[in-house]
Amino acid sequence: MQLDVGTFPINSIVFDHHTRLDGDTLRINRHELIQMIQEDPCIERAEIELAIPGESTRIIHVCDAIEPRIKVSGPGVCYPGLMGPVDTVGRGVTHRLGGMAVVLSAEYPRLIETGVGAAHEAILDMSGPGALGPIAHTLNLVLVLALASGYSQGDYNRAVQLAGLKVAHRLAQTTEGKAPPLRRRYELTPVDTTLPKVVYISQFYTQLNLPAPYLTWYGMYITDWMPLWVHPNEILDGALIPGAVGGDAVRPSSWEYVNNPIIARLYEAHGEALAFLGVIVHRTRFEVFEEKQLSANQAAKLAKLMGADGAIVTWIGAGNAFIEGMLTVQALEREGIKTVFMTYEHGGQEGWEAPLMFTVPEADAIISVGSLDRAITLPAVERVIGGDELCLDPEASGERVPAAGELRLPWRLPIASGIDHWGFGRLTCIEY
Amino acid sequence: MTSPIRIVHYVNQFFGGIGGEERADTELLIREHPVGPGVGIARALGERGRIVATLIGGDNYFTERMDVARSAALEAIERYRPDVVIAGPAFNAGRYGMACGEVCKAVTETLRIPSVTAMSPHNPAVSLYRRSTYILPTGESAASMPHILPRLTAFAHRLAIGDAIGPAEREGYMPRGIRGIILDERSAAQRAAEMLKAKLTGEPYQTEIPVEVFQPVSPAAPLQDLTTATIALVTTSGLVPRGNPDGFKSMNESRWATYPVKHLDALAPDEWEPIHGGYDARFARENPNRVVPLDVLRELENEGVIGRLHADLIVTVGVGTPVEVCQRMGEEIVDELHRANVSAAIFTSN
Repeated sequence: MQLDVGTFPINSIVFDHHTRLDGDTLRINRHELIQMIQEDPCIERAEIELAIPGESTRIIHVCDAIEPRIKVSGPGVCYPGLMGPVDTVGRGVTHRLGGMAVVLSAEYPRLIETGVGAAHEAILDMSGPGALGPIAHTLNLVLVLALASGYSQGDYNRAVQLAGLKVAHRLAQTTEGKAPPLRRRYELTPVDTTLPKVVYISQFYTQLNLPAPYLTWYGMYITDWMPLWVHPNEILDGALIPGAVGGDAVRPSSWEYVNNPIIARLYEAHGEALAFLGVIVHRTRFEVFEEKQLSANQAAKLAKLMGADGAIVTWIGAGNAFIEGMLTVQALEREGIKTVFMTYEHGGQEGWEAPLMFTVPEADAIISVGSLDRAITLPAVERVIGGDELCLDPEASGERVPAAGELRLPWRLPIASGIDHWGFGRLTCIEY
Repeated sequence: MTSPIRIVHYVNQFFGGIGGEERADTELLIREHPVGPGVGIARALGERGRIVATLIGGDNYFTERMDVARSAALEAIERYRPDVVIAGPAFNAGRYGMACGEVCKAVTETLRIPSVTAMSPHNPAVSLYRRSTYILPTGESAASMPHILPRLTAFAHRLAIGDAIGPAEREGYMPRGIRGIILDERSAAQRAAEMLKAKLTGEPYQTEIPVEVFQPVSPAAPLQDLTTATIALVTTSGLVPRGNPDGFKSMNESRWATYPVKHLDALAPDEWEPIHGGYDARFARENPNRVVPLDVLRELENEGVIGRLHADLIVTVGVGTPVEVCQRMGEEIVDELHRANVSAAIFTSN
């Protein structure tokens, strides 16, 4: 499976009469896109705004951020299952708009009020201490969607997601017929057989009994699946992306999925330091301990059957899903597969408390990406996109506060892409 | 050029030149000049500052009459208004290490004056005081004095002038157990690939989070006789009286509360509500007895199957709470239940 990804770097976005790519300037007919989005009856009204890195701008009610990608040759489509047929992707040529994202902002009515299925607030600051994740540094075209009343959570999720994917697709279409300034080939070529073989196990929680259990594979919701062997190029073509119910810190954006830095690093090292075997998409957050154990064992078995000597394991979520992370590391090491685990830490407000809530003695090679728990104050901003108010703790007080003001957050959960699950950045923890 | 710093130095009776073990009861003495190792500190300090007072305390005086000794030391130190307090070095002397740790802790926490001490990593005082002050590692004996004094002096000077102190490994003090957030030069993905390469080729690597193995909790012995037992209901489901009178947060909570249920045969949905960000609480909202089975326990009590249902429901919100906080809450709840002669608890999550 050979995939050439052509990148068109975007350095400015301008609203204009026609949607087209003009060198590294993306010109967008806002009106055309708004008309397209508003065709969906679930969406009462759409607005489109632009947010630039470094501005004193805050985007609220963030649901997702999507990178415009389009397949120009080869089977299938990018974001398969959602944007087209379920033909296996990861081959041919894909074009992407580099350095930008379509950001979805929508405040869901509180149909599901509590728990992981509820739409929690997610805030994206384009500058300052809250500009933590990679999508704070992209040119963001923000779709601000007002949802029509009378539909279900599942309807809204689908409407919001499709609005984003359709806009992303329309923008990516501007690259058709053009030669990309940058090109990179992704192929797991046969390499020196003495190189150690490495698998990437990417864990994702999904919660059952929800209209949107969180994640789709070729457009199909991942429910309580066993681990799945996939080609990294399928992920690059958008086969695995989250829904659009709420983009808080433990829900990486679609943009991050297709730009996964572990996949990038393993491809870089392929043929030199190691042989990159492939990816295991590992669903987690089973609700019975034996099921967690089974899932971990099966992931390790799959890695072993595929010939892995080593593995990098990443996970997303909080608490519940972390247990599978540790159990999988244990199962891999017991199969003789040398494992590195990447995780954020807890540690409480000041860093005294235990960094991890569950451990196994085999987890001796851990990469830390910082802490979820430390309080953070987001300063007042000049401009807010997406609304005037937000609610940080709907399950408790339900208090709404002005979105433009200073926001004292007790932890980083409400920050969109606030946790670096896959190692894009350089934040880490060290002992004092 | 900053103005000369003022240091108060604490030593024990031996390093203070008073005597050996036979003088371990020495009560706090004050000298307004460097004494013992303080002479070396003053020499290393040069023009940058001076030891304005040396406090000498007997090892037994400090460890056996700690409250008195601590107060005396604090009172003396406050009078001299130092910019930093140095204690020791104590090497592997246990009582001296405790005294050094206690002086430093008191001064930093009560007077807000920075402090530093030095001792062997095996000194039992290290685990007790490492969080409260800075402890530099020394050898086991005073033979390492020439090595530690310049480092101790330099560190104290930095504290006195308000220099920011970096991570333990870089600055050479013993880790205090605080995890701080920093920026590495390389991305985490890059570090992950490099750590895996090292692990695969047998090269050395260092985990970024040392794994703490949690002590397993041994279960208590089973009840011999249910019919005489008092059973308490304890829950992490966040079920609280409607209106959330104690203002529980839906995640990352660190408090627990008790609510009287003696008068209730069941929990009514218009009187109780779940505050919890980790589960879909619709079903608990419709019928709170699903997460806290008060109705069933009251029936069992009426039928004589159990002796008594404890008069209070004990509640916290169990999601996103650090382990130490959970341990502390658990211990506090146990104290409460023991006081009320509760025999067993039924602990419901969500």
